[in-house]
Amino acid sequence: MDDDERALILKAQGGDQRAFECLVSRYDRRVLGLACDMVGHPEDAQDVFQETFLAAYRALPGFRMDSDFFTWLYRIAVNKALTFRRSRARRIAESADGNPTGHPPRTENGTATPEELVLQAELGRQIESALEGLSSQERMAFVLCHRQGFKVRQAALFMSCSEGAVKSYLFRAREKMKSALCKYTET
Amino acid sequence: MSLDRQRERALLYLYDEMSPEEKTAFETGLAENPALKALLAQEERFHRACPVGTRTQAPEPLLGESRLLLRAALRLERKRETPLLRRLMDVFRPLTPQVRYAFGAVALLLLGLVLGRTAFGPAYVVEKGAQGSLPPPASIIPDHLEMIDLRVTEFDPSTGAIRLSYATASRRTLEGNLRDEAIQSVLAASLRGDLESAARLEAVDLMQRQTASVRVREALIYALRHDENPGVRIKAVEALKGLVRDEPVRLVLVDALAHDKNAGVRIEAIEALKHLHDAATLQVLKQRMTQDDNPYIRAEAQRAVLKWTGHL
Repeated sequence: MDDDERALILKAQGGDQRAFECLVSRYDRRVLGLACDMVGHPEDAQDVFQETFLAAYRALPGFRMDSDFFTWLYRIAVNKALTFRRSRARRIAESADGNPTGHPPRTENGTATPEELVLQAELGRQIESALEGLSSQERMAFVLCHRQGFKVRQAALFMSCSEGAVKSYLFRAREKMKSALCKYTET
Repeated sequence: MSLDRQRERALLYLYDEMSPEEKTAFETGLAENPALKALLAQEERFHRACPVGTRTQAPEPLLGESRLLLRAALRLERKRETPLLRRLMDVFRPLTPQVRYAFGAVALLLLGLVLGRTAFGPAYVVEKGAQGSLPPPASIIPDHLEMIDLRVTEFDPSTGAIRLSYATASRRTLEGNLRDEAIQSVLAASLRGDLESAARLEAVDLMQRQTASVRVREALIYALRHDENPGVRIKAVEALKGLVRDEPVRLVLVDALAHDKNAGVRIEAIEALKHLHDAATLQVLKQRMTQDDNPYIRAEAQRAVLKWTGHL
């Protein structure tokens, strides 16, 4: 945590709303990305996003800077996303074109030809569908370690569990994903 | 070494979770163990199909809309948080949890004593002022009025003589059902008044459950046309989405798609209109697919036009 961030946190803890908004703007993109990866539907992702930052706002006075602010915030986001998925008994009624986010799936890819783009879109849909088949914990481990590129150690911090548990969730998730995507992973 | 263990090592290698020594040992093992090599190749194929680090990027319009809604929610949160509560939190924040619990226990005890006295003691005591009896407190501030300002204009500490001036405003409580005309009228009026955006957002949020009412529909149309806050306008479009076949609703949505300066509002409008096959909407969609500065809107407009007409 840099000095700038520490100063913002102290100000926000003292009730400075602008300081809190500055903190939000540092991480809101990543938190919304995580929420999209975890819950799929954009409105649901917005709910998780909003609940995360409201919870952070309420809990900020108790944040003692024992850990990194980002880790603390991401932990809240992970909890909110897992809670959301657990409590979601209904949906996700996917949109007509089969794209559960309702927005064009965008990943950090470089330029591609039109044919490649079509194939990528098809693969993207298959991946989304395979992700739906994972348990909440498996999906979270996969999203954190595979899609977001965090180390197992960091993912364990976010998920408040052991590194062994994260590995186990991740490996199980991969097995399920591989079965669902066998068309693309077999020679 | 078991297959599971080999697989685990292959995955740790792929996720770069090995120490340099473990990595070297693994790579040496690869050269000597064809089964391990085949296993790694299989896992690498999955990595190629689904590369590491390809996290979803939240679309810009979604991010913009989420920021707006969060700001509104934070404002509501701050309104709920009384300054007294905030000050108390500031006082107790540096204390350890044990000390905080002790303070909490004492505060509860005191609160119990005060409540006991209030419940079983006299309702109020009428103090006599220098110029005779004051009217009972209930007539000074009747129940339907709320004190919004207090000033001590004169005070003599030696005699206790005092002159206060205060302002009152009435606060009315309305209980009923969202279906009630009176409730709907109050909510509709709030959209035209000089209230905070958060209050207007809450009003639209409530009204979207009663869009069958003409009064509600008109209020939502007004909000979409005139509200300065894009978060409120987005919410209004969401509320009107289901009524897209109603002529005034369709017109206001088409207008929002064509002219609203906020991309989030236009996206909601296009989502509402894209399945509606009529000439005016088609015309606006054709215009949006080339002129909109937002790439998502351009793409969606293009897709909708293609779906309707079979060509661009």
